[in-house]
Amino acid sequence: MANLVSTTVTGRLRIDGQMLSGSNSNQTPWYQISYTGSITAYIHVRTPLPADTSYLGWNPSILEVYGFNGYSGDKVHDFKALLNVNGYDNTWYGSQIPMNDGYQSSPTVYRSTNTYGGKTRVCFSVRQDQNGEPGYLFIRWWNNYGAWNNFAWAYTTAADTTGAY
Amino acid sequence: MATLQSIALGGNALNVTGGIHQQGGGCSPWARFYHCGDCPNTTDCNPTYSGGYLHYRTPIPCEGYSAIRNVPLMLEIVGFHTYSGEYTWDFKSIINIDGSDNLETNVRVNAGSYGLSYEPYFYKSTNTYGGYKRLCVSLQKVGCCCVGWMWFRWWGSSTATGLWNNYSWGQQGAANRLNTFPYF
Repeated sequence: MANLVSTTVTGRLRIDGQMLSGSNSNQTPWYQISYTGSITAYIHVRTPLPADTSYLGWNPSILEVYGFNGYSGDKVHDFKALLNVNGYDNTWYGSQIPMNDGYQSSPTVYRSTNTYGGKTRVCFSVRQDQNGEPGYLFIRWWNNYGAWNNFAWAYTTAADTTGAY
Repeated sequence: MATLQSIALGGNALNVTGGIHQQGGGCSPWARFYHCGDCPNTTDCNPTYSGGYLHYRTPIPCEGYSAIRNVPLMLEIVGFHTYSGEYTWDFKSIINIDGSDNLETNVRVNAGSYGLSYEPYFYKSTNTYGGYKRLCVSLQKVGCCCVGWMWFRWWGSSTATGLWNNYSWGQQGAANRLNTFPYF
């Protein structure tokens, strides 16, 4: 693998894959989910970020989510949640959403009940339009960018705000 | 320095360890800082963890630097203080240095900052750094040494984004919201 120390791109830099910004800003790339809303009330997303002490133990991250569902923006999502795990006893402190500018979004952030790749994962749910219309979610987190490829992403629908994973 | 004409990564991620400066987009890279929030000594805060503010010195010159006079920029601040986010910040502020080197600031977007009694307070440093007074800002925090991270970037003309490496950043905990000590 080449290790480029410095370069200048005088035109455009096009990246068809993903770009990791590294420890400088420690933000992950955006991950996009394209879906069609169902009649179920909530869409649930399981992220690759472990919800235990392996990354989040006394080392908080910000989970950032943008998105919408419906041709006319029936539901619009724009929130940041602060994720943290007690480094001593693995207690989950990840459900705070201090920044929520969405529209009928009703976000909930939770730790998966099950394990995936041996670890519980950070999950969240937001409202769907329940009309079968297109939707997108754009997700990234700040700090702990190294967990970006730690496990596969997944999404599903459920009537409740937690417990889908 | 190499000028890259083309690169194909075959679907692999592009890892950038030093930050990305998209000059053409008019936005600086993010600057990211960890803090516990202690004052540097007991002169201002005793005990040192008891200060209720964080002060940051940015690289932006705001006196005696004609290139940025009346070239406003938008400074974006995102971050949190304490494990449970007792204070969080998500602001965009318009910053201008007028033709007489007066600092003019307005916080116009608050995306949902939490716990704060005061908006960010912007000021010109009292001291000079690299020959210029610099744009500084104070942010409210809990009077403790508690984990937190801050991110800063600014949007504006290529002149403003080109100031990214004009001087080093500075950070310290403080007892006062204003630069009365002075801190910078």
